[in-house]
Amino acid sequence: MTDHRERSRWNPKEMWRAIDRAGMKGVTIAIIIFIAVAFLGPLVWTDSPTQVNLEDAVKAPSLAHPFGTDEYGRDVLARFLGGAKLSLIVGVCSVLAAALIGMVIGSIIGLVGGFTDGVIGRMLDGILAFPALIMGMALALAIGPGALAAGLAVAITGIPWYARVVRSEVLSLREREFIDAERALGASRRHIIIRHLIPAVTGGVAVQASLGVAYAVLAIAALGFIGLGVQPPTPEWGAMITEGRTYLTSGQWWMSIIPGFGILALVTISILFGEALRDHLDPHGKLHF
Amino acid sequence: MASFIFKRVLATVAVLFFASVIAFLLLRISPGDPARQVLGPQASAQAVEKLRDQMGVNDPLPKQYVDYMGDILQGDLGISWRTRIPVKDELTTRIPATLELGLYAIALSIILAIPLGVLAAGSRRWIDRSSRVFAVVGLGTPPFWLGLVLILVFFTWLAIAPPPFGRLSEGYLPPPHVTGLYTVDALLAGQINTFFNALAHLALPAITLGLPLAAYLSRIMRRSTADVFRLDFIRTARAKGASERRVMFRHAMPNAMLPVLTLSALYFGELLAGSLLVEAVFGWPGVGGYVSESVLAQDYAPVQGAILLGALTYCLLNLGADLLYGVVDPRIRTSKS
Repeated sequence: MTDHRERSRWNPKEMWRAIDRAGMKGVTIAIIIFIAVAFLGPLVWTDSPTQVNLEDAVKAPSLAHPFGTDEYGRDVLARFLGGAKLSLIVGVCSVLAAALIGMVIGSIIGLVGGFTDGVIGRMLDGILAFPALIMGMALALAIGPGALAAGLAVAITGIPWYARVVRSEVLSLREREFIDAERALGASRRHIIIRHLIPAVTGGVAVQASLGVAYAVLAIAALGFIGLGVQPPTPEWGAMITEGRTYLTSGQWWMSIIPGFGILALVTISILFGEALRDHLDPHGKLHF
Repeated sequence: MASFIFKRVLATVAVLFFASVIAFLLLRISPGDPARQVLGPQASAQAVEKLRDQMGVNDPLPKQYVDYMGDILQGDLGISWRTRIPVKDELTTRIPATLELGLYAIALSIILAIPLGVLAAGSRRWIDRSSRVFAVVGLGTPPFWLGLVLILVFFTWLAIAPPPFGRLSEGYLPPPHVTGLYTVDALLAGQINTFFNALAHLALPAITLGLPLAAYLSRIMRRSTADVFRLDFIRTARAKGASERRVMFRHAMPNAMLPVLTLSALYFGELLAGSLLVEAVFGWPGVGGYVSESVLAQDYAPVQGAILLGALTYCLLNLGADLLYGVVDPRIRTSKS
């Protein structure tokens, strides 16, 4: 598996074939399209996402504004694209941070064991008792609402998941004979971690991480929705939904309904990617749903 | 068995301790001055300082924590500085609203998920495919947005749903208090109109809250049914000539339901967090709405109370599930991890 991956690393054609064999062609295309929309979209659709133009306020979708305009006359399409980029960046970064810290903590408590494992394990359980939303609310109060608080909340509440995956892998590796053999041959702890532990946990962590992105995007949007996430005028999907809410009962739906489709798309893609990866790495369903 | 129970209870207490420390610290390190919030911007510095002393905000953090825990253990969750109502009283009046919403949401999701999961595990591929689409879309839909879509369709466009505010329409009085669940109380009092009105107000929020859960549970049910399908007694039932439908619903379904029921109980804690958003969308007078209002007003005590309530619910449900599994499956209570 590792060799195969190293061989195909710099060969796009070979990589694409591997993706196809894994049954992940569709979802990979979806990801590429989403990233293209988020990063190239604003270059094509050059309306400003923050330019206030009260004369154009609350206009229904038209050719000039395909997604309509909001209460300040800002172009909803431009804000939608800005929101896509923001969700992607904050979601992915916070999950990467959580995965990295979680892996370090998980391997430490797995290796050290005993009392440390017990205490840190309970602390991690304590964090698990907090949904990301609650943690985000508290952090938003503590350090001020914004992308940082939202991302931190997602990262902190995510850490236990990765720590658990890695810890259990460390514990099972410790019992394996080939690790004993390695140690008897004088292999250092570092060697065992790099050559055996990291390759063994990568799959599980990757699956967890792509499902984690889904969770992160939902949590960030939820914080934005209650007004504690990314602050205006920065375009953010959750906040856009709130801003357009008051117009909903009078039938002006586009301001709050359209951003929701963006969240739905990004979350769905992340879930599908995670599930496809899991099915590929582990066809017999050992990894948790 | 006794040592297994002891260990699990001890672990739960430890988790609750850490949760309470986190809840306490997160809100104490926030920059806003609660005394200034209460007195307003015009109050003198001395008055603010005096109130800070009274509130105990000037004490060292460890002392504040000990005082705080002492109060909690006596059942005192503090007073909301915004409304001057004790948090405990406010929570007591609001818990039934959240509970009623949560119970309907869970019931709805189980009713949807179990047949869907069983059908998906059956032999027809297109059913499995569409149930998977439902599951992924259901999990990917932000609940607050789904609520708004439902309001748009059923209230604004079709005008068949009641206005998205509160538990009863104007002109209806709450039924005499027995359980606090309006639908149950209305039936007990024989007020059929009130019952249907309460039900109509519950419908959209319960769907909003229940649909993502239904999506999740339907996948669990599918896997669990597929596992049961491989067992011998299913083959026996088929050999005896039972129809495929009978095998599915009479033999496989009851046996596959257990994990779904456990998981839906565990999910109740998560529902509390979800209710925070859904209650905000539907103006539902439950715990969630209380929390979001308090957070925005930097009102410490209600937020802490609600966080502890959530953590407690989560821990107790987990503990209950663990102990139950320990009773059912001896391997669990002897394993080290």
